[in-house]
Amino acid sequence: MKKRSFGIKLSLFVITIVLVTAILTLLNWLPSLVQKRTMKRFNSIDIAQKELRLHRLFLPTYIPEDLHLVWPPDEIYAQEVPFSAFIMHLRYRDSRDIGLVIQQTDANAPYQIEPLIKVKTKTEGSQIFIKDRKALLVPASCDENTPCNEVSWNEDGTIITLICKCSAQEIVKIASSTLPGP
Amino acid sequence: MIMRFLSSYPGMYITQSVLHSFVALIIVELSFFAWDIRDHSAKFRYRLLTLTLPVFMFPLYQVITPQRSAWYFRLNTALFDSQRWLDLNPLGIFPLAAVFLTLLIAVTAVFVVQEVLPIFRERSSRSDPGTCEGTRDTLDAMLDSISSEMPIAKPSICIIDEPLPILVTQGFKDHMIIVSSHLIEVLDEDQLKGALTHEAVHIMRDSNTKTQLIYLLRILMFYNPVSLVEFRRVVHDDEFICDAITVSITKNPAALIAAISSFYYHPDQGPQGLYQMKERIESHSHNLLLDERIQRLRETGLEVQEHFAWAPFMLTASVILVMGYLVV
Repeated sequence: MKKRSFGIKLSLFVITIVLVTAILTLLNWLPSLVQKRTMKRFNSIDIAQKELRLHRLFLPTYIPEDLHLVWPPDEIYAQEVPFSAFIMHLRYRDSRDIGLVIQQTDANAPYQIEPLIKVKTKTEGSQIFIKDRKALLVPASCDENTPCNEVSWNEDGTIITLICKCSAQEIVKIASSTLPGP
Repeated sequence: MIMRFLSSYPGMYITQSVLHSFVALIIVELSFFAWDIRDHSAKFRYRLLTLTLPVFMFPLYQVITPQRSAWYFRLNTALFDSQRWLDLNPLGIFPLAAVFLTLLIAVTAVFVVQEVLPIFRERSSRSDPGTCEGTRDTLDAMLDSISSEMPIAKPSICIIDEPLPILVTQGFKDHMIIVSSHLIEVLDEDQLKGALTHEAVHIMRDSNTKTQLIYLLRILMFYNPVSLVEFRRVVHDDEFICDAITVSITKNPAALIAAISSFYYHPDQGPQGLYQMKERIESHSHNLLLDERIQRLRETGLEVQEHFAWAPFMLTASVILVMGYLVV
């Protein structure tokens, strides 16, 4: 029997790998046909709101200019199954790093979604008030030891969490701007 | 509760090791076609990838990328996310996670019944393991000649009085070949030389140690359906390899074929119980392996073994590792 050259064998191997990759991609996509409301990336907040019929979204109306964060968010994720969640990642204008994470999840969720920014807390934090809501402000270090702050509170059954590589005053101002009223 | 377990580190290890085994199996089988691998010696090494790599892949990936199991990686980087399937509940009765877990429990049960219980049964029933009836000068001379052609110390021989064809090698350092008197009676000198050379090749290849190490991997992956199948195939590959080496030494494939033919086993057609069914299935699979070995010897004869190509092997192993990283 005539032996194949190494080039032909290599080509066949590449074809088989492409085939395996295609099958895995297809298998990964198939569940989305059955279950449409699991975690998904959206191109805009409007599309996410329409597709998942999200009732209340807490969007910041103020982001300090000197933080150089880009609005609208670079990444938007949302889900309704197994529980309601909405996540926004805001990147810096001059780098690909994420500077602000805003997450809102169902307070009754069996587990909390781990934020993309890795947070190392230094203290248990302090209780503050954001427009009359009791909130927890925690100073921390994020990713590669960048100083950051985390603030979270329960807004009528929705846990809102902001993690920002910025000062405590700045994160509180951003958090306040997500809520209606003066 | 099932999903919570499967989302924990032990649960993720179990799920991902099974998936990694499946991916490795598919890539290895396709590699046989792509790289035109027909030699069992090469197949043996490739199949070892399916058995060994999945044991280490999950912990290795977690060390490299601790966030690999988080939702962000699963959604944006992974090629295949098992949780998307395990979360599904298509009929509304029970989630696929329960079906998956049931499958693993079934495989574990097969492992216990097929591979663990027989060991204990054998130990408790083996009252007199060494009933050697002595040796024969002809066999001793034959082993002298065989071991002088191979880099092995001459093994001892033990003849047992059994009406069945038995030929096994025991030991890890000091080897002993056990042969039944029935086999000595039915095989002629050339055939017996072929059969004993085959056992000597097992000693030369250190098959017993290799099988024990592979069995250890099999035990670690007791729940894994791919390991269940691949373990047997690797052990079978070893027989093919030893056949090829034997023929390259004896230059007499016909004698080895005749010796192998004497091992066909047909259980008595007795009552149709579960035990008889199990015995029939086992003898069928045993006879199928003998068929394959004879077929292979007829096809290849004195053909020289192919040189093992490391480049395709390393490439295949790398692809398995990269693919595995993207399967969570």
